[in-house]
Amino acid sequence: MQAPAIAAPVATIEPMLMTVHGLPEYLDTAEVWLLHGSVLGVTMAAILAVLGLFWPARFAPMPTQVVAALSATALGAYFALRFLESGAEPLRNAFEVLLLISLGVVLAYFASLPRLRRPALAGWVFPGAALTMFTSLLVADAAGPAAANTGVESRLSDPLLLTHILTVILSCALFAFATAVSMVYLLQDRTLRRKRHNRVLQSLPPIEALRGMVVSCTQIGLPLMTVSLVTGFLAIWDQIGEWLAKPLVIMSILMWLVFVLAAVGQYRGWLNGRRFVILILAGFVLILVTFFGTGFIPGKHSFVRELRPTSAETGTNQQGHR
Amino acid sequence: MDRFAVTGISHKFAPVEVRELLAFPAETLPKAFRLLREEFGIEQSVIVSTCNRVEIITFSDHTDIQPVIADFLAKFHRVRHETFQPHLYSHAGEAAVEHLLKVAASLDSLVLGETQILAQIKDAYAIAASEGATGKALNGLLHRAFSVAKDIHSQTAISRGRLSIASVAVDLIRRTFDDLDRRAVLLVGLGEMGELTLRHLREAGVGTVIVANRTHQRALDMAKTIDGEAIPLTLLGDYLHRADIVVSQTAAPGIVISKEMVAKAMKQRGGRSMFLVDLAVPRDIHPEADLVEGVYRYEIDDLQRVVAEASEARTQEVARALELVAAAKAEFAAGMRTVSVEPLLTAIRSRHEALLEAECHRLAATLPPEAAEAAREASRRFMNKVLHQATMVLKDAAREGGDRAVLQVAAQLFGVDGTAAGAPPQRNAGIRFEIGTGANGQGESPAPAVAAPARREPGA
Repeated sequence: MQAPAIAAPVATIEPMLMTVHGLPEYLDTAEVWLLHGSVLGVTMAAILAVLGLFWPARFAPMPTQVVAALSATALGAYFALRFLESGAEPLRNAFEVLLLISLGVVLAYFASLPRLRRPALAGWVFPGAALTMFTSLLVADAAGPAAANTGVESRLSDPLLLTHILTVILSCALFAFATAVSMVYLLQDRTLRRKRHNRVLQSLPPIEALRGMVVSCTQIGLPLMTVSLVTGFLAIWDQIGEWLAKPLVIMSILMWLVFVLAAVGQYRGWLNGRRFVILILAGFVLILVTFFGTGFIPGKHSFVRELRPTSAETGTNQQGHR
Repeated sequence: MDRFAVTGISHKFAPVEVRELLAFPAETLPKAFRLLREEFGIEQSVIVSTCNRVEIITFSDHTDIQPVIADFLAKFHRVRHETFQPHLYSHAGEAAVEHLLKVAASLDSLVLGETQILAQIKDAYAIAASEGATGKALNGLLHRAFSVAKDIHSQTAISRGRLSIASVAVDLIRRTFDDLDRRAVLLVGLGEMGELTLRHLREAGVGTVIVANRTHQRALDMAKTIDGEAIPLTLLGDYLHRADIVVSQTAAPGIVISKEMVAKAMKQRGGRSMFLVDLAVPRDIHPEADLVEGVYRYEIDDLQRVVAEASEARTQEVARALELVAAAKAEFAAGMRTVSVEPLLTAIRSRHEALLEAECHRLAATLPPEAAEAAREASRRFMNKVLHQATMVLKDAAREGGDRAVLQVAAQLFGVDGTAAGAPPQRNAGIRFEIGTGANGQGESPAPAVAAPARREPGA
């Protein structure tokens, strides 16, 4: 999709933005602006939400939620444009996967509002979403020109791969949200056990509601994660022997087992309260290790390309132009 | 400002036996207002009657209001002066405004920062207004008091935190559960504080109540009054898992709820949190019960510490609240001074309007209608511009409490002089362009171009 004619200031800023963190060259102007707008918006919402934890009278939740909703809409519009432009490949690499996870976290927050009824939770959730977005921009540099992209391959024509990728993103987003809620749970738990007042935490949801939310996220996230594993295995069934030795697969299975343990333990009653929540946190750490750790190993799921000459050596800029 | 007054008794100076003598039940207030108006000449008044104070806020011409109110109270309640006179206090002028602002902001309350007093004053004001006992002056003062109280509550921590053990317990329970209507509370023993906590929980909307007591009949009686369920104390272990909240206050010499009982109950609860409140001394609940995952336990010392912290926090906010009161008082006083000059400004404008009309009428006889109308409009614009500067200067002079001679000179300059001939400008005499100086005393402006007569004796 070609961008409309842009004014001189925009034409000046855009290349600057592109060089700050080297966005993939296949993004056009509208997508660049939507992307940066949503990153800025989520960052602003995160700042407002954190300020709202300490000064609730001065920083009401409504403006935070409006900014976050607009940012989520901008990010959704970005993905819509990417889909329209590419026709069948809205997801190219880790950069966009992380963006989708951020979007999922923000949407999970809004979905939780009717149940938790404490907008102040945004002070814990939005910073995580903003951090994920910044991380996506950092890895975007490695996302290079499409032709040389050896990152996550997404083909909408292959339903198995599509299901695999979407369920990975959804489950990661849910567990990311559950992680933020778990951290709040641990803080509330500590405050209640130490029997000390904390004005900041008083605005947060009650501990039982937080526990219930983590349980719900697990009950939805674990089946999604299971589906993603199964579809992933089915997609590479022909080469399964080769794949089983890969760190990504091993870490994925380990990560899945941790969440299974948490879910079963909670259901059977021998894993309650802090122990359950800590296990969820451990599972999310494994998600990060699985996603980022193995992602730096060259291969099919890597989001760095095969070792290649640097821009200085080839005389090209980050966009691959001389 | 001197015409505002607050007279009455409060918990600070009067025992409850005196306060109850002077209390005003709501149904007696119309008669009280009538008496104040007809026999004591007080047209504007608000009567605040609570369990901790009886105060009458007035706006009147009485220079010494205390004996007047004392007579009123003695007559209305049919009591002798001696029974309450030693406890009676009176504030006038700015002191009255300051006192009212403090009372409305709960700075004068038995429990610092309580919010009930503001609602009580609002109710009292509503009743007075419905009886026609308020006017522009008192309306302005009361509305200012409500606004300042709201600001103090929102901008300071004066009303933050709970100051009773029962309400602290309920607050902590709310930090554990939000949907209290779906929660069950188990009351073990029928101690006074336990029952009070249960009552708070009921008001907060808790759903199911189970009562366990050594004497089963008492448990049954209690359960009947609160629409709950009664169980024998011996079956406590079997029912513990059903309770999300346990409030215990028995007279037992030892532990009633052991750690093993709690652990067993939590296994049956599938991990759902449980909140234990131990109000008994010696303790009913094993101190290590909260080592069980998902269990939170508060004993009486913990709750008292929370209360003490809240009380301390409120006390630290008093200085800030008093600053807000002082600022509001100064602003109100400045506003009153500005309002007091309105009759003078109205008189000046009216005189000029009259002169303008006279000249335009003369011109209309000699000019065509369009020209006459144009001349009228031009003259009016000129008059507005000339008077604008004078208006601003006079309002500023009044707001800053400037020399009354400025107002007197202005009146003379513009030909609306209202002083008695030869009388020097004095505090309570001279130009009386103040609220309430009109013939009806209801704070309305005097007739145009006519100076209002002074209502008080010079030098009073």
